Amino acid sequence: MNDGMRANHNEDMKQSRAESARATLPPSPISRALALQLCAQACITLWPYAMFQPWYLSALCGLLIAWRAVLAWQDRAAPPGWLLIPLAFVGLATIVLAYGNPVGRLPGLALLSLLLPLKLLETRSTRDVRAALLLNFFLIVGMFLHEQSALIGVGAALATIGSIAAAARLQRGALDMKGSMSQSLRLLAQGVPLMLALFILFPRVDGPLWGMPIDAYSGQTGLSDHMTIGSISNLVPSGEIAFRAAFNGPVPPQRDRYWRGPVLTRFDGSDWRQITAFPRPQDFYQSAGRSWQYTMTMEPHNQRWLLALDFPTASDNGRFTADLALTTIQPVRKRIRYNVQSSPDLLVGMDEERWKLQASLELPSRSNPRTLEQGRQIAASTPDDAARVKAAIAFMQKSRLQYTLSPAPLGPNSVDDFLFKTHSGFCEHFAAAFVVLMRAAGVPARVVTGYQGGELNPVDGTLVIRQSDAHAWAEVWLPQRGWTRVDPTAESFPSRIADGVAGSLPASDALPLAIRNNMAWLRAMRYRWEALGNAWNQWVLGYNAQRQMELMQRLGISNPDWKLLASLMASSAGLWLLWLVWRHFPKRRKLDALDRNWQRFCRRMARLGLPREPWETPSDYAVRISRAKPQHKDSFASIAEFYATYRFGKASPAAQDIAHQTAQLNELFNRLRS
Amino acid sequence: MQTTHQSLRQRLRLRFRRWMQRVAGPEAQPIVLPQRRVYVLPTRAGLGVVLVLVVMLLSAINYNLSLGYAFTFLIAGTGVAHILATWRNLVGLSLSFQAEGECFAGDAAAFRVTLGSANKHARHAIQIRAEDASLLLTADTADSNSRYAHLEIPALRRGRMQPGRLTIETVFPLGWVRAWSYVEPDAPVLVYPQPAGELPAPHAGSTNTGSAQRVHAFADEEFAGLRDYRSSDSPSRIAWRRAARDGALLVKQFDAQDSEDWLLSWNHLPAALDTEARLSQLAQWLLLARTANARVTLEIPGARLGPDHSDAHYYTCLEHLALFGDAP
Repeated sequence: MNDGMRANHNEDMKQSRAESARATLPPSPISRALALQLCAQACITLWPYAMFQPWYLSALCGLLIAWRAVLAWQDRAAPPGWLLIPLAFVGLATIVLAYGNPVGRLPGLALLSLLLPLKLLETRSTRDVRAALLLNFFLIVGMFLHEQSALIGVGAALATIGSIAAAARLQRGALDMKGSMSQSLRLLAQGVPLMLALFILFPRVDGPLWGMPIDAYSGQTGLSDHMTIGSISNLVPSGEIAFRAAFNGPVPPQRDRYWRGPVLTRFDGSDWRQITAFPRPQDFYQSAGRSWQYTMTMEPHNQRWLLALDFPTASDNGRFTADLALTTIQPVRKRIRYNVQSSPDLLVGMDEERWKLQASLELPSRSNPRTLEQGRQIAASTPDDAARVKAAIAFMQKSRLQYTLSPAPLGPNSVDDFLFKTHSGFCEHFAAAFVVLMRAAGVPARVVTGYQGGELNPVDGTLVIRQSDAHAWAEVWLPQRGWTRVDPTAESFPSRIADGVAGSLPASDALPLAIRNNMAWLRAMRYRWEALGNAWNQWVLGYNAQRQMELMQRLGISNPDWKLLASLMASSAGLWLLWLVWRHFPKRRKLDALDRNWQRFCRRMARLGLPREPWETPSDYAVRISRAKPQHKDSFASIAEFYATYRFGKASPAAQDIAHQTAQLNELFNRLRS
Repeated sequence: MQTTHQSLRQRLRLRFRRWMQRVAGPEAQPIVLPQRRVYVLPTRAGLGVVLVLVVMLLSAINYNLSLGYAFTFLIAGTGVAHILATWRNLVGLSLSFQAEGECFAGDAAAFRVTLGSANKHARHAIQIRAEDASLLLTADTADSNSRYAHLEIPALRRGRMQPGRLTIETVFPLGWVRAWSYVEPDAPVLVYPQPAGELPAPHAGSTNTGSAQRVHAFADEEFAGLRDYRSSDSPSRIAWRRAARDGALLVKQFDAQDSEDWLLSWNHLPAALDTEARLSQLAQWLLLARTANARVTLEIPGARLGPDHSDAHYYTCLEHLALFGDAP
């Protein structure tokens, strides 16, 4: 054959090969069903984002996905690439409109969530689908930056199942939705043991590896470190959980549940602030009398103080201020756990420094003249400080004050207005008025803010304290007793303490559903849900370096360092791999005695040059080898019949039958040898 | 220089493959892929997933995302599990190749591939690639039963041909790793010379290039009996009525009395033609003769076949042409 002909030949050949390749491949790797599955998948991955983003961003994402779905449904091609550029600009403009600037955590997440529909719109090849699936994985982690609730966890799990299913379907077009889902679940189930092991053992690092954007902690609420009239009543409409306490032993009664927050001494006429003083050492007070030990789990509030029952004596986190409030060095930006010990009957501040007592008497001279006058009257008519406290309480009880969430607005002399004009106020009005009154009467006094009460969840036995339990009370300094708690709200309205906020407020005040008392079934459901939430927080979200250490210690490892954790991790991963290999390794069928004998016979015959052909039945085989070795004809026939009878029949051979056949085989082999 | 370099590289690659494959020459069938012959390496998509997982882990650490840790580890574990699943998809796969139909050089040789499983494990998205990495076939075995698939490999030259070294591979289920194995099945197929040539057929009214005797011109053929259908038979000769009755495909045979006699002789071909061109021309004539149902006598150096007009005779003639001289 000459060269020209050969070249021609090759040409033809290439063509025919190209044709045959085309014939075996589907026309496009992205079938309609796969494209629709990808669109559905994008919706599943993006729905948690819809809860946190402005609606119009989600609407834009939804619109783009719907467009792609319609194109896929009608078997039409993806839109041309140039169209994506203006679309991307529209998306960017929407993000700037929503967040003000395109950099930061929230805009970054929004950008990521917009990227997925855009990628889907230009998905043409297998590679594009793979890129879209990787984007899905990014988005799964991204949604945890917004929130890590159990619900979001479920959403992320669905998104993961769907992504893996889409990857499987991409590899095998014949797979339908159900088949790809079950494939995905099977694979994920095999990954779960490794996930658990690594989750527990992977060394946890406290604090970020690099700087966080400034907006990282916006939206965390709680008490602030100063108080103006009205700042606490703003918290009450929120049914959000502030913290939980799990008691090691009996739960303190309602009247002792004063959770101490910032202690406010300085008063400038409108604002109450803390004074700065050297912190007290941890063991300054020894617990005396009754004592409670409990574990606090505090929701992030982006402030530096922690809460503890009056009066904390020891804590494994934070430090005590001079006023016995518990503070941390870094603001509380993630949920933290700490153990505290409190003694309610402790006498504190017996040795209080003079300048602090002085500061606890200061009043701006020109404001609240009527209250100051009232204080001076009390001082003149009573012999000592303890009597003055009683007189002030009595005065407030007589003033026919109203306890309400929506008090009438107050003028610049807020305490005067409250005590003598409007007569309506919330706990901070009562506390502030009482402290001003006491200071005017010459008794050192200060405001303490925090929470009062809490609700016992019968499901898991923890005490749940909500923002609506925020409270303010007063402390007065008496020479024989030190700082003594006086709750002017409770003195005027004992039901505030006995029944919580909901019990003492008039029914007309708007309260969140969560803290209303009259819906028993709703309450029961809420208890259950919150117990679940607590378990989730404790064991999944709150699993940090400290908890990891605790768990290791409970498992008997006294001093776990990262080397030990790494080796534990490696060995558990190794065990898991062994399990996987065992699962996947092709298993040899276990032979029973009947098969063993038959195989032994066949092997022996094969050595004589008479191997059994795969298609031969035992009796055919026996006939064939009998022709070659007619002298053993009877043995062959009986061995083959024995095997065929029991292998393909219903009965199974008795032990002595097998033993008999083994003997028969041995005897036959002996005869063959001789 | 470039070409020698190229060929050296190719030779090294071939040798490496031989070593990897650990079999010398065509293997007996069916081929069951053992564990040691299945290799696994990550694909580009797999490396992308690893990169994404690293980023996911870093953000979980930095932002202290417990769920971030959990899902990173979950996807990583799934990825590792899927490596074994991919490997498992190939291990224990049994393959046998069988040539089917007739094949002329320049066409594609057709093979029937029987895919089965040495155990009860179903196989999915198994791909078979030729030596130059072009995709020949994608097939599944949905359950433990065998599946048939057909593949075509270009036949370049006449003579005996083997499917050659084939790559059996799969990226199922997730496409993050690729498992593959090499097989070289022993499934010989005889490739007949490419039918070509412009010379007129040497039938009655003979020309100077060939000679033929016409015994009965244009006489009606006499029905002689039925025989089993072969893939090369013309549809017009199938006994359709019989086929409709009991489903058996039979072909009507006609008596040779009515046929022409063709003498196809190597020596009568013009001297200018080289060996391959002569064989091509003879093959061309053989096909024409078969269409005309002529009695053929084939004369080539070292053999004289016929006269006969049975199908078996045609195939014997083609076989002689295919294996003429130093054909493989």
